[in-house]
Amino acid sequence: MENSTSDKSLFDLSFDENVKQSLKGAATWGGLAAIVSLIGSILGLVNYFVEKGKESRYGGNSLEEMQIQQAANTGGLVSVVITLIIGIILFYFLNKFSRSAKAGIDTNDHYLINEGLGSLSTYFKFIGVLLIIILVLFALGILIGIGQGV
Amino acid sequence: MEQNQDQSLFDMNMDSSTQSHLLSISKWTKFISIVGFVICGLVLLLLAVFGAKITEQLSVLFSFGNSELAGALIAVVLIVLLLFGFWIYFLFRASNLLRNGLQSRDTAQLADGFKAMRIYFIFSFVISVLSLLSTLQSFL
Repeated sequence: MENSTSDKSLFDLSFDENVKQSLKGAATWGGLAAIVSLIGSILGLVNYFVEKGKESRYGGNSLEEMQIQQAANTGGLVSVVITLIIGIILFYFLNKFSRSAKAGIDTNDHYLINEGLGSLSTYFKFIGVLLIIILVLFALGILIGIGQGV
Repeated sequence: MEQNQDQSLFDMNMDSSTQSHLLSISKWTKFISIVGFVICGLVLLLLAVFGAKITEQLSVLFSFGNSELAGALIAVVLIVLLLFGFWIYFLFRASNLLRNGLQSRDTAQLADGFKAMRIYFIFSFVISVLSLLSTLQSFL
């Protein structure tokens, strides 16, 4: 009796046609979103250099103005590079999910579907950890602001 | 033929590893969506409390001359927040359906979870395209 229930709970959850088609739809759109998002991140970096080129042509002449501009440029470059690295990592996992899940469904390969879902899990885990880091930095900023205010 | 049918019935069972991945997806998507809802709520609260002051400051800062354009800007922020809220809602829905599907061993709920995730990715795609167009516009 116990054996029968245990067997049922282990094997009654399966990828039926409905689940497969829904997963394939999510994988297709996830793949498209990943590609467009990566192109956006790369264009962001290109845009940074284009804007920097424009600024150097019309930039101020005094030493102070040049120092301020240089500091702003360095900060901007760091933020664009970090955004690009995050974009590449997110693209890698979402694209891997898309390709593996679609291939797994098409070839009925359980291992590929499992690999795809593992990548999707890592993708969301990565976003979650990034959110935690941003929230911690935000809280620290507020605390420092309050500290300086007092 | 019969052997093939048996094969297709049994080789796509969800093993413990797949179920563990789905559970992890459900947990992290829930966390992300709850943080998203909180951020939406905080922005709405800030707009409700300081809306008039923000409108006034924006009018001065961007030299709008009148507060109507600043008000329009706030309306745009509200529309963006609404879209963001829908986007996050589908992630939250996917999270709940995947968890419930796993707990009740109901494949229909799992399928609905993946459908909600598909809508979430469609939103992500549209947002990425809009962001891409905005970057391209700055080249011109």
